[in-house]
Amino acid sequence: MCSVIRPTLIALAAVVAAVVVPAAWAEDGKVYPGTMCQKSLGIGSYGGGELANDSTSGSLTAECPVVRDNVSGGINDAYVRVHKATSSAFWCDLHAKSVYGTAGFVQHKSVTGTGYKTFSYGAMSDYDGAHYYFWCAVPPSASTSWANKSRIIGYRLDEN
Amino acid sequence: MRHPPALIAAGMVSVVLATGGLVLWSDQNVAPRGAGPSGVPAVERASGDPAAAARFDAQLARLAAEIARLEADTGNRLRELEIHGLTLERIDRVAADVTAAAVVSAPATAEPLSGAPSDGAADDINAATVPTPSDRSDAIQAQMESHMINDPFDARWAPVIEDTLTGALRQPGFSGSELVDIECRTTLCRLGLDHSDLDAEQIFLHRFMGAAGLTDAEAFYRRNEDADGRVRMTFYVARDGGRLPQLTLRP
Repeated sequence: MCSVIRPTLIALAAVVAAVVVPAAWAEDGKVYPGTMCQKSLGIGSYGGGELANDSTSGSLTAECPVVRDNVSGGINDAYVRVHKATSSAFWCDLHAKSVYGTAGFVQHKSVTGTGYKTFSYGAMSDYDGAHYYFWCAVPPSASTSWANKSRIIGYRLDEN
Repeated sequence: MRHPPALIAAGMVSVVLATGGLVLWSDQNVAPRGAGPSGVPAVERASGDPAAAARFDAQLARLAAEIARLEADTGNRLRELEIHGLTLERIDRVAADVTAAAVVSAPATAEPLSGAPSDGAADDINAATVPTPSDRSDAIQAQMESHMINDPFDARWAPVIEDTLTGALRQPGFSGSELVDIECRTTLCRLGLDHSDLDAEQIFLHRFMGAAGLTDAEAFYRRNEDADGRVRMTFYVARDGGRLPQLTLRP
């Protein structure tokens, strides 16, 4: 009897470990479409999961939310993928505020040139229970065709 | 001569009462320290007198401005000496006071660790054992100030970036933000700011680093809203391409 029980328990433990341990150690990364960003100033439109600047002369500003489900963990890394249609400034800032906003951290990234770009963010301090968000300044588009618009394509944030 | 026990007990009671009175008098008459760059929150007190707090904050703001002026004068002199290869040690009492205040002050309006309401008994227990975000902000700011003291002065970079940041704030979009003081060292700059309202503050937080031409920067800020809607802020920004000082707190 013992010769059957012991190997069975060992096998069961291995199965449980295979299921539980990877889930506990995996980074909690989520990828969000640009359509989750909220326009604040400027003229923009949504399409194909992206947010685009419809203006060829003015900037578009947008706030992009992040779901924080590890409320006591921190920011491991993040990125924002964009299409930059003109040479005007394009930047996205990652904000981590305190619970009531009396303090906060900001990581600022901007890019030059044109084309598809990625803003990459490293680990950043934060406050337990508070929220994160990206704030982006999208430059004017080159024309009104979608391919020539400056756009926020998508973004990702990995928690610890 | 022998003293009766009652007399001895009365004497001890008198000493205890006198000591307690001295402690109470000291608490009420010694101005709490914590003055520093504009935007450093006044040391919160449990009395909650808004008028007294407003007067105190106004005095702190005047003191901070005077300190900034003196620091600017001293900084200019130090720059001259450092350019000539002389090294001076400067004891920054203000930063030391901020550090001391961060250790001893007990903020009365601490933010909870989560948004969930809780009963008072739990708050008392938690306040004694769990650091609040306000405590954390105090500690972070103290570390920033400590870093400013120990960061050497980069005579080539600091004046240039101070001019750049100052110039950026002169752009029309930042008309609601007033630069009270600025100091840059080698890896970190500190700006003291007064924002006319929350909108002006949001414009600053979202647009300033881009408008200043920074490409890869990290910042920490501490803010305090006045009753009239104005916001005082201390803004620490790392040198472009660099990171904020590594915190010894939980990252």
